[in-house]
Amino acid sequence: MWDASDEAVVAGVAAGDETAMLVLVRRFQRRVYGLALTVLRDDGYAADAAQEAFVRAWRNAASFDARRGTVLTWLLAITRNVAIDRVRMEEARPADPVDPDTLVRGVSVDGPDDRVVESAEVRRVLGALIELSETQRRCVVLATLGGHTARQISEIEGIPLGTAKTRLRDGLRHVRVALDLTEAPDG
Amino acid sequence: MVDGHVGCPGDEALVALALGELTGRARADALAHVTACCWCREHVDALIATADRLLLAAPDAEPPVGFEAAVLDRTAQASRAATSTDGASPSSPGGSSPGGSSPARWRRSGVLAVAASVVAVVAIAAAVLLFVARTEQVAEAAMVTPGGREVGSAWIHDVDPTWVLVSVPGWEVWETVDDPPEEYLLEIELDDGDVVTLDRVDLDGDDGSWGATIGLDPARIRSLSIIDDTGRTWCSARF
Repeated sequence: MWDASDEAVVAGVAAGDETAMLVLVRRFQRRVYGLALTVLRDDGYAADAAQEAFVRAWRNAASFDARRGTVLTWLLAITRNVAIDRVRMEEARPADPVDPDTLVRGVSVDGPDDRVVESAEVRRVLGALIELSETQRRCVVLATLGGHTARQISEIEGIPLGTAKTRLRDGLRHVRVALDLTEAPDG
Repeated sequence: MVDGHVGCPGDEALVALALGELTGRARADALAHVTACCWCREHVDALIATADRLLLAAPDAEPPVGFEAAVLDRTAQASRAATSTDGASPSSPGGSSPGGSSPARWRRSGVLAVAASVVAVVAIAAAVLLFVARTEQVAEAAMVTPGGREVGSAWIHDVDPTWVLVSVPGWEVWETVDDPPEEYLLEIELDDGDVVTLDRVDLDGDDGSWGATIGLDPARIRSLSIIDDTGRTWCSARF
């Protein structure tokens, strides 16, 4: 199980294999906790949210569909939703506005090559973010990694709500194209 | 671009849907639209995939000491909670007699233990629910008749408030039987054997979809059943 693929581990979790659950936690706890900390910016809240994310993954392991994404993106999406739920339910509202640039692993105008990253996929994502204008990148990061609504983004950035929505829409579109994800046909 | 499609919501509305910003009626209306519009459905699906992929950019961090043990403890507790309340063992979907309901499954009529607000979600297709809930906060189970025939699906969406949805394509065939029921109801069996009933399931469209928000812990739901006003079970999904 320790050398099993991520998908096999999740299948093991779905089958009630306790070792598989241990492997899942050990393999992804840094990423899950890291994202929770990014959104909540509090060690205690982040630890609780990350634990809850793993519990939800355990509970819904049977519904994981490898055709829709990797185990890591599945776990991170669960984590993001748990963390955002905490914020929106006023349980763990971060005190300070987040600086989008601190959320991203060393994204800079020089590109991600000067950073040590563990996977080509992460480099692609960082590269896609670098290609955005600074204003679009800030909105995209605030929404996707910070869990902020468009209205909150407009307040943080000091811009009209419509401008925030437009930057978010355009930024996501650019990232989608850069990552070669499914592009909806133009009307 | 979405804005070029007559009748479609704007790009920004679909972004809001994909990022989970919409709630209540706005969310239900948007979901109803993307169910019917394959273009918008693909667009939202792509937005969700993009947003999920961007999560990879978040830095990782070493969790506090004891994190791993805490997770395993919580899953163990959840597992014990799920198995320790095996009170009255409910009859299986294949075991209920079509002619009457199981004696163990009484209807709690009158005062409902839950505050249920029925949101008429029209024609919610499985693909819509799954892509909206790509975090897999959705539990899915097959709807099976007492005779063991699979006739559709049911979902429990683990959000606040909890959503339950059922889809039974071909439901109108039921109407061809002699003495069709006056109305259908949704019966929810909980992990302690207790049963609550939500009145009037308005199956709609070709896929016989119906949904509602309920004030229940999704982890406590053991089964969802469509029954009629005589107590007869038409189909059930066990979770």
